[in-house]
Amino acid sequence: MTPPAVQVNNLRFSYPDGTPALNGISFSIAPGERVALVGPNGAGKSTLLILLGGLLQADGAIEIFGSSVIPKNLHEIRNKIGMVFQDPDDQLFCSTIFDDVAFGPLNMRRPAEEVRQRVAAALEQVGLAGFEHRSAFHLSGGEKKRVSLATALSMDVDILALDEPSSNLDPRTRRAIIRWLQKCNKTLVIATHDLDLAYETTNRTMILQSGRIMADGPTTEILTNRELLEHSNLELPLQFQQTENR
Amino acid sequence: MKHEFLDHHSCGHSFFHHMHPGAKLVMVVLFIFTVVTIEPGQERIFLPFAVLLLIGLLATRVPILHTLAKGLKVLPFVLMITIFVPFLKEGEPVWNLQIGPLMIQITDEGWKLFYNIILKANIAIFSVVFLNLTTPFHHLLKGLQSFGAPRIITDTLAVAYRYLFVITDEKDRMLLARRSRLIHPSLSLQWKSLSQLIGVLFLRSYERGERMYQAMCMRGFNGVIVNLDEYMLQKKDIAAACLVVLTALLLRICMSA
Repeated sequence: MTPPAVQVNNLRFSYPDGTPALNGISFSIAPGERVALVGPNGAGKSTLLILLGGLLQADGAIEIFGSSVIPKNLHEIRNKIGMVFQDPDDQLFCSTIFDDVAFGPLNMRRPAEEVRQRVAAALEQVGLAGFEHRSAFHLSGGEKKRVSLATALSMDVDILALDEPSSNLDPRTRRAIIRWLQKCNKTLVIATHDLDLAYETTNRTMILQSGRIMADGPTTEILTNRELLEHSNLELPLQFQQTENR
Repeated sequence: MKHEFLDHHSCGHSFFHHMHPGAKLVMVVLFIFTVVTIEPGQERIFLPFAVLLLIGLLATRVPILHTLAKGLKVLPFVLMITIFVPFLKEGEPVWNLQIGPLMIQITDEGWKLFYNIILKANIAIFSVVFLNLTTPFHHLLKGLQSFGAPRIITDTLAVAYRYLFVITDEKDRMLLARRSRLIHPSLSLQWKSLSQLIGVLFLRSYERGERMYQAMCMRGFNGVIVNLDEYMLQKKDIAAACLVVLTALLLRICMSA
């Protein structure tokens, strides 16, 4: 039997200053599932993504495809889950796009020729073939975001964890990212405030509030439930607000 | 926001742009070394070196006015250091000025030394400009790595160069926000807000560093930044570097004789 892509049991986490971020949450994500994490600011969405990658230690248990997220498994875990941070400038730290996209595969000790192929394929997937020798500071915000995606794709991960994939993007680039996410065949975990993006790209939505899961269910049900959304300090996606106003 | 990058024009397509950065670095360093050994009184030797350098600069196909502007920006610093040389070097006086008890004089030896240093400095500066115009900063760092420069230094410089512009952008945005809220402020208020701004910028940079480290860890970073060596040293690179260095040495030996 295939283990779940993500299994989280009673996860608790507080920041060093004592601020609680997650208060005992549990859930499971099946392989190929596309999950949106929504909630107000400070709900714990980004923290949860960071914990899935084993970047911080928390109480409780996390398993990625059956492997516990513990220090001795981190190399294996990071071969399975790729994270795209909210600010592409945090993710693109190398001198050239090639070095950035090749960074993961090289750390995974892949042979040089395979690394070159992975870089070319990842950039091709995000529509930036030929950008290898450019520097990140010469790219637009949308291009940086797509290169950030390519840095995770080049590692050939099974799960993509995306933190606010549409933040600071112009409408056209945002639409391009949505189309790309719709076509992506990996397990997706997307933390976002963009409820329209969540509606169009995911089939399951979890609402987080004050470090707890307030609701978990099909996106079509959760994101059309005005009462539930307003109770969680959210609102209907814009496309439904416009329908209601007509 | 856009910045004038330190290595603007460095991604061109001349022979020197495509030359191996390590070979280019050695070539430029040895060329400068040959020039700086020219002694005062042998100034005529500088001319063929200047011509050689000019040919190199023209071969880069970078607009010459841009090259001149870049080099001349450094010259004031050389003048600041050398301006007192003609007055301090002992020797045959060629010009005197008595102001009360103070005697100011320029000596022949001092003047020759000053002239010599300025010529050397100009050739060295424009040689470095040549390197800068034909080599992106990260290629230069890889060139240094190929000569055994410690990775901790080259990697730190590479990351610092990458984030220099990110932090400059952040600083510019904060200054703009500050200016929009400070209307005829007192000097003390200006200093207070500026010091707070610097503190916040430091904290934000620190936090960015943490996030960047997390992004590195997520991609399997284990303490060493691994790169693919894309720059194969070719025979033509070695030949070009040898040709330039040997020409410089021959000029130096023949004209000193």
